[in-house]
Amino acid sequence: MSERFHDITISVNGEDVRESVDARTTLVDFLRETAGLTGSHVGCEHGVCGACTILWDDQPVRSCLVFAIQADGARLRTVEGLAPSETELHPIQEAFWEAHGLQCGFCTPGMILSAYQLLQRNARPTEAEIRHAFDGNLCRCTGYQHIVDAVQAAARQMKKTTGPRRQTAARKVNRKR
Amino acid sequence: MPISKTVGARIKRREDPALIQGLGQYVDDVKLPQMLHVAILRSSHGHAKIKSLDTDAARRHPGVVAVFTGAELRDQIGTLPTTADNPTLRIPKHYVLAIDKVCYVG
Repeated sequence: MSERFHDITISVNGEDVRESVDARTTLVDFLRETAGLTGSHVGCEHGVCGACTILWDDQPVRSCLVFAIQADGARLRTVEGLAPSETELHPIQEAFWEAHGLQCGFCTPGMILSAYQLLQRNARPTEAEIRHAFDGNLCRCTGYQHIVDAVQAAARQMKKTTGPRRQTAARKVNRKR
Repeated sequence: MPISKTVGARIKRREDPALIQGLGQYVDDVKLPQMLHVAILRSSHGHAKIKSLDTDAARRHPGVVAVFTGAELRDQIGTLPTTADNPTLRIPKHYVLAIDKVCYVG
C-alpha cells in the first residue's frame, strides 16, 4: 500500500514552497491553496481551457493535469512571478493592458504565460503563428482579436528592448541583382 | 479626436493591473477564516423522479458539517425569487435543489 501523503518542495517564482501533500492534490490546487497564489485559475479541470497554464522550466504546462507530487523539485513560474519588480510590469502585461486584451480577466494569466513562452521561441510571430500558439487558451469575452493585438504589441516592444536590430542580414536578403 | 477625457479618448481600464498580475479576487480565490466548502451531488439520470435520498453516510462522514436536501431547503427557505410580483404573470416556482424530480441534468 503506497503512502498517501508526501513531503514535497517546489520552487515557485524563485521561492521554495514545502508541504506534506495528499497524493491526489493537483498542482494547480497546490499553487492556489498551499502557495497562496490564486492567479492560476481552474476553468475545466481537464486540460482544454488553458486557464491553469503555468511555466515549468519556462515550458507551458497544464497545472490541472499534473499532480503536485510530480512537480517535487521543479522550478515553476506563475503569472505572479512575471513582473520584474514590485513597481514594474512585464511588457506582455503592459501590452494586454494597453490593447484591452482582457475583459473578465479569468483566462488572462494563462494567455500571458502562453504569450511569454511564444515570444521566447519566436520573437516575431505572424498573426497566424500567434493564433496557433493560443489554440490551447480559451477566452469567452474578448473574441481574441485584442489578445492578438496585445501579443503583437508586446513582440514589438520586446524587440526594441533586447539589443540592436540585425539590419545587415535583412539588407543582404532584399538586394536584387 | 477625443471630445473629453474619456469620450473618444484612448484610456486604460482601472481593473487591469490586478488582473494581469493574477491578483484578482474571483469567488474561488476568496479565503475566509473557518471557511466551509460545499459539494453538490448531481443526479446520475437526466430526467427522473427522486424516490428517496439516503443522507446518513454523508452526515456521519468525518468533516461533514451539514447535509441539505431539496425538501429541507424548501421548508427552510421556500422558493427562489425570480421576478417582481405581477398578478398578470404566471411565474413557475424555482427551488434551490430538486425535490420530487430532476430534469435537464447536464
